[in-house]
Amino acid sequence: MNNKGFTLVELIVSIGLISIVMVFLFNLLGNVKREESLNNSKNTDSLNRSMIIRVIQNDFIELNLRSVNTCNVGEVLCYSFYFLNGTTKQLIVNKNNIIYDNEKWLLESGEYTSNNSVYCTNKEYGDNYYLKIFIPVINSVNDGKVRDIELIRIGKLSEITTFNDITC
Amino acid sequence: MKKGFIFVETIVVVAFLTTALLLIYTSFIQVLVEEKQRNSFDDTAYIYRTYYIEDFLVSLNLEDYIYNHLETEVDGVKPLVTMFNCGDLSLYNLRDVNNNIIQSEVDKQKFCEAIINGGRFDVVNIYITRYDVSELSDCVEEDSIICKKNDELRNLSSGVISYIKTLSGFDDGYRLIIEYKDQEDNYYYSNVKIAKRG
Repeated sequence: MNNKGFTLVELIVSIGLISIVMVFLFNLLGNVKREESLNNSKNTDSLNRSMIIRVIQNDFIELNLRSVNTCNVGEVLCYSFYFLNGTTKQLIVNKNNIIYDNEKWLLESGEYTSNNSVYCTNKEYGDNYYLKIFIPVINSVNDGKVRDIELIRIGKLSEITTFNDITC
Repeated sequence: MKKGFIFVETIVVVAFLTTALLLIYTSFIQVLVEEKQRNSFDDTAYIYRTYYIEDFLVSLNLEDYIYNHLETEVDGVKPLVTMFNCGDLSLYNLRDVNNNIIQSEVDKQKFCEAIINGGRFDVVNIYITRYDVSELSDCVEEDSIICKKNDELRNLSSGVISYIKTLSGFDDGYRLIIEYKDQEDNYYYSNVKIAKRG
């Protein structure tokens, strides 16, 4: 038997086998590359969402939310928050961005909508109330990550002034 | 003497490469699954939700509740976890010294039922554990005799168990762990240290 090198059949079989492995490898690399470009915008949105929620919720807690009213500025929604120290901050929601206290965050994937945007309990629980502002995102990449913005406040009705447009 | 690869050698090399690639792929998939699971742990919105729920619960007689359910021995063993229940009357001071009903406490109970059992906040279960969950974490893993005596431990879902295993911290005190389920049946988990009242 001649063992000095490849025969043509051996060479073809080897190339065939290596090609199969390479196809899987390139497929995997292609997926990784696509995922990487998607990840950039997903991570930015995720980071912005966390930042928006954190900034507003911290204001609710530290500045002590007194009242919420709707306003007519944003494309989708607009809320004015009044705090115990007398300051007022506006949350303006447009389809592709959110502006809070003059700081703007862009949404790279999807759009903000106004469906089921606000809910506040009435006096059914005595002095206890909760306020829930929900800003859903539609048409975004479905990757299992939460994109909707949710702002919550649980407190005492006696500690807030009447919300003009929002029944509480 | 051989001067290059022979057919068998090529197959061995290809098989070796394929095995290596398969191993890499398997661990890659595992990382992706774990990453997906981590998305449901400690999401910012749920952290604030948990914070507010904890803030409300602290306004009830939560210390008494914890004493009754975590510090009182059951079959000679202190439970490691307890499931919070709004219906437990030890949480409220429902009557005053003249045995009259205190309406504000009744309202608190109704509010508790609304936010926890009413589905308004998507709460599935609320668990109270010691802040240091290392014993609980080991217990769940090893399924030791102590764990078998704690009935509520057997009711922990696999999601909660996975979440507990990610928790750290050795402080004194207690921890509130909340399991949520959204409209699309996705589960989320969040925890907060229970603050002392006052």
